[in-house]
Amino acid sequence: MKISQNKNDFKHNPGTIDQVFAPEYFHIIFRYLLNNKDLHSCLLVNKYWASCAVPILWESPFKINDKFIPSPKLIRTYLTFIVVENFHNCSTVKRPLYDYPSFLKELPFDRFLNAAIANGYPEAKNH
Amino acid sequence: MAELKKVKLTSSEGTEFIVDRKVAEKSVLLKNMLEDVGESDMAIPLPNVTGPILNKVIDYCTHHRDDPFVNQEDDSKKVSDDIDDWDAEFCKVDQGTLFELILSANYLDIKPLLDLTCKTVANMIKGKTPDEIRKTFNIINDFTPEEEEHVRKENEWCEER
Repeated sequence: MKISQNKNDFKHNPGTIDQVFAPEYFHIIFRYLLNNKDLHSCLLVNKYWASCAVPILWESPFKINDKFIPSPKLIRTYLTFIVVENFHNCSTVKRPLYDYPSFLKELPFDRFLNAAIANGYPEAKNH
Repeated sequence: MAELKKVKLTSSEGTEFIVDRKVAEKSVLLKNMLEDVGESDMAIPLPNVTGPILNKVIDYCTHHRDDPFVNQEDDSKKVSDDIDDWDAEFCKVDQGTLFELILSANYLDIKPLLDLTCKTVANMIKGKTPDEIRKTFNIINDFTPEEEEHVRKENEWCEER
């Protein structure tokens, strides 16, 4: 894979990293951040970095070092995508900033569902 | 004795560089061009690469001229602490140069150089807080406090790992 030349490639007087690199470059760089803590820091740098880090963080969020680790906090974010009023009974709950489920590449579904139910979302059974 | 074939390259300013064909062929772009063109004394113009950057790229390709070609294309996570001394020294440049090396490595299709330079940037990120990262790269935070809190909360799970 070669990244097509865009953004401000080759102005010969590069600006900041954000001005120089298209998202594809960040994707290569972020693949070298082995732990999610570093990726999480990248996520909070600014909106551009967040848009580059989110797809990597959310592609296989249940698997860390080949182990299945369901985090209640992770499931809580996923569940906000289920039509809000159906189970929060609260119309003021905001939609998440990014479409996190769209980045998922790998999901052990049964275990995901069981973890959701176990973490106090019996409504998940109905969806 | 095998004949050492030479190739002429021209940087964006028109500076001419003469390198061994084997060195030039570390670039997949140049390798394909040379195969297509065959024997030729014509200089290959590289309008996207400045002289100083081309000079660095040639240094890298010369040092690594005998390395085997590795075609590793995957999306998996990779280690970044395997940089040898020569490569680490090679990457001790200002950020502008490092970024231009990344762009040139991509343009010239020199994957090991692209990997090395991207690893170097990753190592500049590792272990830092968001604020330290902003300071390192001189970039600003354009999240509103509310948005930042929102993203933090939605991604809280990462902090547990």
